[in-house]
Amino acid sequence: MGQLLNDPSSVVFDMATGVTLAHPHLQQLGEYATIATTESPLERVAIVSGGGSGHEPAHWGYVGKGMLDAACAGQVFTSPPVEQILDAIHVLDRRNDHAGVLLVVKNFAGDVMNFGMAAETARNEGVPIAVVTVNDDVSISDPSSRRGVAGAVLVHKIAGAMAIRGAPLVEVKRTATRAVRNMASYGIATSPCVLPGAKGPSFELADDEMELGIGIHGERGTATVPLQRAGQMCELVFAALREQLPSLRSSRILLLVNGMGGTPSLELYLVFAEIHRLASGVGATVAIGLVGNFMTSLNMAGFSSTILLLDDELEELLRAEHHATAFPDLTRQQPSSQRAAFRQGCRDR
Amino acid sequence: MRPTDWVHVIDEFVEGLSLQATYLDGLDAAIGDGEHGATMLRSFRAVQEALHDTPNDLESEALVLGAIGATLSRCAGGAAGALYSSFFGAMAKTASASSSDEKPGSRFMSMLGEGVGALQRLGKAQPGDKTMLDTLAPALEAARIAEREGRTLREILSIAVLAGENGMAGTREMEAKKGRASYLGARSVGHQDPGATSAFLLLQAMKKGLAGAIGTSV
Repeated sequence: MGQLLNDPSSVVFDMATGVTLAHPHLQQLGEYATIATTESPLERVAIVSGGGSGHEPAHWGYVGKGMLDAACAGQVFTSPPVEQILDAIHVLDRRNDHAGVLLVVKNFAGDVMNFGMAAETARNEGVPIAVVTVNDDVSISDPSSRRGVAGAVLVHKIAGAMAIRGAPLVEVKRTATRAVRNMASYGIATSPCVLPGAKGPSFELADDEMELGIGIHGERGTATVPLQRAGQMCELVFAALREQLPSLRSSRILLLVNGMGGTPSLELYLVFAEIHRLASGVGATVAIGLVGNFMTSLNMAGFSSTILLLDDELEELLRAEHHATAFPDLTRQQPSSQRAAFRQGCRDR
Repeated sequence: MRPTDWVHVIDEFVEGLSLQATYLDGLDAAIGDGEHGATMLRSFRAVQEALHDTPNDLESEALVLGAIGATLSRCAGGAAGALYSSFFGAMAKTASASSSDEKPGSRFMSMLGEGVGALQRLGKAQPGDKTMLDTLAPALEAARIAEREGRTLREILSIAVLAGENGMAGTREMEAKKGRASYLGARSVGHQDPGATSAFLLLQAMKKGLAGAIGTSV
């Protein structure tokens, strides 16, 4: 299948160039494919995330006031190197005059090690730094091995909004961690992906098959089974989420249907209707619905669904104003004090 | 061992990775995302370039090994980048701490031991998890025994390569407990681990680079 690229080895930088040209309020930091806001000074805790490329709009799409302050992009499906992350931490630490940096890290070996080593070095240098690990994928039984997938996007939003409120680092981390504990995700692929310059797909899947329990790096999932209708797929997905979140019934929830990159919007909304029906059927109230490509795997076809149990604070944080390009505007009837705080960049401390 | 021996190790490693890149990608495609060969080649080509760009800075083994680790920290990324930068960083520290009177065999042993120890602490893998450790731990163990027997560096390296090869082959029937292959669970069985395979290529490169030089006093 034809790809749009010139040299496979420079795709990440070529993309980053396009990003800063298309979105002039974003900048590339130094020699790395790190996208940041241009806001300086920064009167709040800074939020940094990132990971491999190939998940667009993650992660640069979440860079903007009220969400991430920088996103470090590695090579496709490869976590960014330690020095790249450390550079971003240094820039933000200078900009916010040691107010603290929170790293939102997905639970993959490479991400955990590279972000972890950067955090340790920064800590030893005296930078106030904290790490929150996202492990929302429930297709893996051992929680310590669970992958961080689309739920990470919700953590970016919640952490970013907390920072705008003027919360100190420890509180931003605490709230972000609470969100991770109350979310679950599960994904199904209907076709694999093709890496830039690769000769074939990342794995073989017949037209009448689907892959259960997928991650976001084009690898096989937990099982290959015959393709089902959307309704049955959604029952399977919802059952997995419900098992993880027993208090789902009669809760207010955020329901996210995330396209893996190669699935038409038409199909994603159809899937949303199915899962919405199942959630409502057990007494849950879908207070916030999100549909779209949030955490993709290049051109993989399929979807993942995330449910986040809401409380008043989490819902407010999700609805707070922000300037990231790829997250929707969920503001509605915000108190004027909150709008003023946003304009300022944070609430008076 | 001379600082330039380690430059040769990297040259040999890059050559081995270059020859085996497609094979490594194929191993990775079965249980991962199919880019291990490309990633390793890109990372270590960057190391090779860095070493050849600054030949005058490489006055000691510790400096060369430190430069390898630092380049990986800047350029590699991924789990492999983090692990190998830690591995070479630990070897660099050991090299600078050890005395130049030490016999090459015992010096190599301390360095490899610290390198593998650093890998284990960072990656938290155990033998049998189906990782690079399943090549390097048996190699280290066999090399230790050989060194205690008073063997030369050349012999120690040959023995390490053989043990590493067995370890690598042994990963085929293991179920992955760490890394991307671990998400596949039982489906990872029957496929040799790509990380264990590239680690074996490193052992081969060490043998060629450290014991292949004419005039090496072993």
